[in-house]
Amino acid sequence: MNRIEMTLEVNGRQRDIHVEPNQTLLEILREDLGLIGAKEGCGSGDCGACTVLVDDEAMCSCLLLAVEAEERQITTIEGLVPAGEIHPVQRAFIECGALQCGFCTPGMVLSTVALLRRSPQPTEDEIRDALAGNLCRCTGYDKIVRAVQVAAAEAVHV
Amino acid sequence: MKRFDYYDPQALQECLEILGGNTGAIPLAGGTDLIPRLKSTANPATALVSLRRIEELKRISANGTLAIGATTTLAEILQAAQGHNIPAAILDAAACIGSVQIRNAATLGGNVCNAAPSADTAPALLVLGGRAIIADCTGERTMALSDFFAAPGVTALVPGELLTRIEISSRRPGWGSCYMRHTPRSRMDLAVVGVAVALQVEGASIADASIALGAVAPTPMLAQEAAERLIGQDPALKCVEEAAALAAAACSPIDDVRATADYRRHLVSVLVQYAVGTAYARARADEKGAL
Repeated sequence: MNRIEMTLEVNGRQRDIHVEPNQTLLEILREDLGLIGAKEGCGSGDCGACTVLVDDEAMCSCLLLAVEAEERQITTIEGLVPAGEIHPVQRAFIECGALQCGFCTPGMVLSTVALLRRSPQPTEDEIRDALAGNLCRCTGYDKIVRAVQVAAAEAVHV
Repeated sequence: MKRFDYYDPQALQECLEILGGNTGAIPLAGGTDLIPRLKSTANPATALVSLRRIEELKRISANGTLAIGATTTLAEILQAAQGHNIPAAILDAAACIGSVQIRNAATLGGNVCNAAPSADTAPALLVLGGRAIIADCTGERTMALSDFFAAPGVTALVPGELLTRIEISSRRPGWGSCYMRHTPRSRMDLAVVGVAVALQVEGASIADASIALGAVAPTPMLAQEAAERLIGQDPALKCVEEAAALAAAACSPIDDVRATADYRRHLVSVLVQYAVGTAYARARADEKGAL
């Protein structure tokens, strides 16, 4: 197996990387690009802690080979807003107490952003369905759902 | 993950030649089943052939028959529901699989070729007369989906072959379909039992019917005798209970961590009755998305 030279577009920047075909996008983001917001909770696509946006769609980066992510726009939690700023969804999570240990939070926020971009006024059922792929062991989900509702009610551009 | 060779063909013929020349090669679509398997197995693929650039595999087209390309994602199928007359059973099945993240990657072809006995799209495709269009570097062949599933995790594909699309009947007036399943969790779970029904209704009675079951046999299966019990009948009568009992008797479920065989038979009986009711209501309503 040969190392492949490729370019990934991550958070609006072109990044040149060398990858083995058996490396996932999650590994490359964390270990080569220093973007440690995406976490490995399970490695099998069940927990959503590794969620990133790929062409605006929420996907599990632990299931995506880095080589398969070529020519797609990747957005991680770090790329949601410029450094030093805070995204309205992040603010809603903080104000609603929707995080404790924070491990699931980057994935939860990105799944929420993906939801609100396609469905700006979701019902509670739609919120829970959209977040079904993001597990949280701390909060019991209730405050997370409320944070999404708060962010939606603010009707801000996400 | 163990190392493997990676091929990135630009077109279908190139892909088929690679698969034909390399018996250890596995096609990679969404990867939602394959990547976890490669991470956990000691003897994985020696080579992966990416399908991501092959446009022919992604199309949905309708010409009397509905053809869904093998690498169409479940999310794309759900989005396409507006523009194409995609039968409701397919939409029910696609919507219940995994999560948003999974559905953005997972493909119809992948769900079919992974051939889990519990594969949710399989019963839906079976009741809609699904056909598998299979290609290799010498040409194409067509096979009824009911012949495609050979054993748990095993299909009729031979080395070098690739499923390129699934063809089913498109929506027709007077038809209604549905897929439903029982899972302990509301999301992110495997079907304990899955049932699909397609009905053609004329007046108040059932002119044609098809019933398929998942997770209650080594492969997804049609329950033909049960379906025939409905034909010519008014579903307000006992025939639905009788069809449900025939379906329960026709399957061969096992005891496993999710349920006992007895409970699965019971669920088949219950879900067939519900699914017939839903498919019938959809056929009568003849709304967009019915069938």
